[in-house]
Amino acid sequence: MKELILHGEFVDLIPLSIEHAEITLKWRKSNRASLLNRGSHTLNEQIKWISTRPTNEYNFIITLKNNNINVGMVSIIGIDLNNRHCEPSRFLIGEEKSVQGIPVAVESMKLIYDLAFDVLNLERVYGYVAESNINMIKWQKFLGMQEEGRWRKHLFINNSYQDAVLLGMLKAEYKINALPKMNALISVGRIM
Amino acid sequence: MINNNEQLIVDTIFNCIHALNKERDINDQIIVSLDTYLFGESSILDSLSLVSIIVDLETAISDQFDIEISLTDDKAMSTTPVPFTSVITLKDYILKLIK
Repeated sequence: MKELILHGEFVDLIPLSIEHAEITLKWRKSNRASLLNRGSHTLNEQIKWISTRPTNEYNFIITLKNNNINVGMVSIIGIDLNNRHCEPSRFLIGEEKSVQGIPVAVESMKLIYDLAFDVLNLERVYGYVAESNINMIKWQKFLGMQEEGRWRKHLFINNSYQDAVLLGMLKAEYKINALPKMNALISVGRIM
Repeated sequence: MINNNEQLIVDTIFNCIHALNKERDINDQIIVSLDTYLFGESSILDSLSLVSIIVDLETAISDQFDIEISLTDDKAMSTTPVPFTSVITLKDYILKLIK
């Protein structure tokens, strides 16, 4: 995949590179990431992980447009151009204080969905969330994802098994249901 | 003077904020008050947290008043100030919707 920079009104998504290893490792080890799959433990592991990303995914750092502060990360992985689907993933806001009152999360996801549906012309996005990550499930459903099933005891997080809640959204559902809501939330940031 | 519906809406908004607070760090609690700002420069919420409140509130209002409401549709977004600026603007907007 060629390198892309996605430009929004409040954030830019810039390609993840090894210069982001330290900050992304800090985010991944934070409490906020406790419901995600555990990643690297050391800086060297994180550098290796970043430098070995496969070609069927895009990994981004979320950067605030007004001051260039890096505040989080997001990816789309498993891009399948034959079956025309991909998985938005690794969505994490690492610098909570820096994004207060700014529609960073919603605009980042809009840029990701626009990449999937408009640039790559895919038909479907999908993913899964740990059942205890209630706010993330709520968030994904608000943004148009539909619950499509569960994988029972699929995840082992914090020493216990959890179901993975399977979520998916089609291109038409994004355009009709999700995009207006996302635009509405982004416009609030414009007014404030 | 605050009427019954108004009080019920305020209580519902407060409950949604309490629910969100349970998942937040002790040092990062949202003040539960009519003057609390929910989004914008004066708020401590990010859009993830704001959506959590919006979703909970739309569901709770639907249950209590048997009416489907949307806090992010065109009508809401063309209202000045935007409904979820603060607890008080949110309460006023929901009150209009259920009348």
